[in-house]
Amino acid sequence: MEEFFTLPFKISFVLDEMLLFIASLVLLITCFWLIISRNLIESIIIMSVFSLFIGICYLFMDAPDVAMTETALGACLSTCVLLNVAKIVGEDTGKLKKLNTLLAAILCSFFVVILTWISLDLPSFGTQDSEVQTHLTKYYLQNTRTDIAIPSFVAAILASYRGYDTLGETTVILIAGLAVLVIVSRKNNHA
Amino acid sequence: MLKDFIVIKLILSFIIPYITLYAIYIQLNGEISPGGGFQAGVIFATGIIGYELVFGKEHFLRFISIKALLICSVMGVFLYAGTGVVSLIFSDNYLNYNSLQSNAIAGQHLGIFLIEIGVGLTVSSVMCLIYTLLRED
Repeated sequence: MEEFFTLPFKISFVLDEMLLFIASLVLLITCFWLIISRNLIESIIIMSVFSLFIGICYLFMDAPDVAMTETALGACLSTCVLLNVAKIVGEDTGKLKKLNTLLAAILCSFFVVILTWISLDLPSFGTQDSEVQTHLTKYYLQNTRTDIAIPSFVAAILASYRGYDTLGETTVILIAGLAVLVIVSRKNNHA
Repeated sequence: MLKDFIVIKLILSFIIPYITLYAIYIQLNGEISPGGGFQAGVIFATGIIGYELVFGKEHFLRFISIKALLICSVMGVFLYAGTGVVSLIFSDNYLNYNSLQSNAIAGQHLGIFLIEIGVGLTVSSVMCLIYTLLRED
C-alpha cells in the first residue's frame, strides 16, 4: 500500500509549499481586483484568471483530476459562455435594474460567516487520522485491488463504488442543458 | 468576428487536433491515470468550442445540429443507466458490474469503461449545447 501515498513526480516539499503560497497570494489579489472592477468584460477575464490559478493550487495539492476540470471548465468554457452572454447583455451595465445592494451585502456576509464557521470543523489539509481517512478511505484502499483491480482509485470509487452518485451527477448535467434549451427557446418564441 | 484574425485562426487550427486527441487519451486511460469521463468530455467540448470560435456558428452547425447534440446528451445518460439495467437482467444489483462478464474483474473493467463513455458523451454534448444556445446570432 505504501507506493500509493508517495508520488514519484513530487519536486520537493518546500518548493511545493512556496509555489502554493504564491498561487494563493495571486488568488487573493484577483479576488480583490474582481470586487473593485466595474467593467463586465474585465470581471469575466479576472474570473478566468482566478480559475486558472486555483487549478494550479489543486495541482500542487495532488488533485490532478480537479485541476483538469477547473482549468477546462472554469478558465475556458464558462469564460466563453459568459463572454457570449455579456455580448447579448451589452457592456453598459448602467441601464440594468439595480438590485438592493444592502440586502445582498448582508446575505453575502451571512454566508461568509456560516462557511467560515463550518470550515473550523474540517480537518486540516493532509491529516491522516481524520474521520474520513480512518473508515471509508481505508476500506477503499484495502479492497480496490481485489474487487476492481484498476490502478486509478478515484475512477474505481467514482464509477463502481459510488455508481449511483455519478449517475445522479450525469443526470443533473443533462437537466441543466435541457433547462437552458427550454429557457432560450421560450425567449425566441415570444420575440 | 474572430475568423478575420489570421494569427488566432492559424494557432487555433493548429492546437484543436491536439486538444481532441488529449480528450480521447483521457477518456480511454481513465482507469490508469487521473481524469475520466467528465474531464474528457469537458476538454473535448473545449476543442469543439475553439472550432466554433474560429469558423463561426454557420460553419459549425453544418456539421452538427442542436438536435444531434441533444440526442447525444440523452444517449450518454441512457448508456449509463442501460449498463445498470443489463446487470439487473443478469440478476445482480443495479450498477453492479460483476455479472457483465464471466470474470468479475473483467466485468468491472467493462462496466467502468462503458459508464465513462456515457459520462463523457453527456458532458461534452451538454457543454456544446449550452454554448451554442447562448451564442448571439
